[in-house]
Amino acid sequence: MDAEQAKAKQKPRKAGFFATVFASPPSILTLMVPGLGHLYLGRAKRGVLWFLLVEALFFAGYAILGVRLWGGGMNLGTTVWGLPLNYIPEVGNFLTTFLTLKATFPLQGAPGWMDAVGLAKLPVPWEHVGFLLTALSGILNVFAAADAWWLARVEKTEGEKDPWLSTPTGAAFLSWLVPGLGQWKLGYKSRGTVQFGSITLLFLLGLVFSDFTAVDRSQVYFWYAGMLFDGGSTILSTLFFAPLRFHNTGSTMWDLGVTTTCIAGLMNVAVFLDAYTLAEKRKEAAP
Amino acid sequence: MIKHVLLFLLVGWLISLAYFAKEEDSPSRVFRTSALKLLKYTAWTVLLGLALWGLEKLFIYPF
Repeated sequence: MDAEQAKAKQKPRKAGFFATVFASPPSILTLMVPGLGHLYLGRAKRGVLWFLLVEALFFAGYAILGVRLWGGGMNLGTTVWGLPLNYIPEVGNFLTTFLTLKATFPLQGAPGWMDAVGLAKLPVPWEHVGFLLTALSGILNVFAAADAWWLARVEKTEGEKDPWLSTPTGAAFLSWLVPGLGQWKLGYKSRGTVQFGSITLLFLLGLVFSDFTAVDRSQVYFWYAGMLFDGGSTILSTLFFAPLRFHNTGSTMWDLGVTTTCIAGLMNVAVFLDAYTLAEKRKEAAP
Repeated sequence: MIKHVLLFLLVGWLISLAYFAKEEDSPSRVFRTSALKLLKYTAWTVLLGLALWGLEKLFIYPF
């Protein structure tokens, strides 16, 4: 057997996660600037829509918060290296978050730095809404990057003509918003119902354990990033329960509540990735 | 104590259900699979905990 035959016999290797994401200019570009990857692919209209949506969310949140936005994660530093850890999930919209931070917050030790730190720690009215909006900008930009990746993949073959919600990214988005909804729409109704029931019940249990105060980003900044993967429940809980007066008396039940709501969000990652996979398989099987 | 064990089982089962829902097609099979997996991994965790406790008793704080 010569070398060519041996080569032909080898199975084509499937690209791994890092190769898939980081070797894809459209998704990297969109993670940097919303819609830039779509522009790169020649889908300007879709790119502009993503850009407007994500940036509108970010700057609407910033209009409410001001420098308070930087108060949550500043303990880990405000350099570019700390950014992916400090400002999750805003960092999904990387360049906007980084440039706004650099433009509005002084460097450590620079004149005015101590005042800015004080202001960043000071609560502002409606901050729960502001924190929610900036966080949503990061999450939605991750969906925009996934959309750019999907478009880059199908453009090579026949192009994507279907409505956005029927693409894998659309199915994942639906399941992010309501656990199991993407599966339900694809026809996997019992699977979607079980996923919705288990994750929503888990989230509700967390709320009950914590006297409905777990979903408050100003109190549980990093946990909130996990909760937000269960989009609909977190949005509703933030709007209705985050303004409630907060009593943490050291109760272990409160801790359990925060952990349980966060785990509900993280479990929903498995659910919306499942919706993505199901929709992708359906597209691949389509003639 | 009983309350904590029941809470653990309830939360654990819901997590297991959310994850294993994608493995099975019918809800009854999902309920069964998630309960069995939860019991299996709980048993492994308890065994591992006991083994670590035993090693500590034997070698680190024997008295």
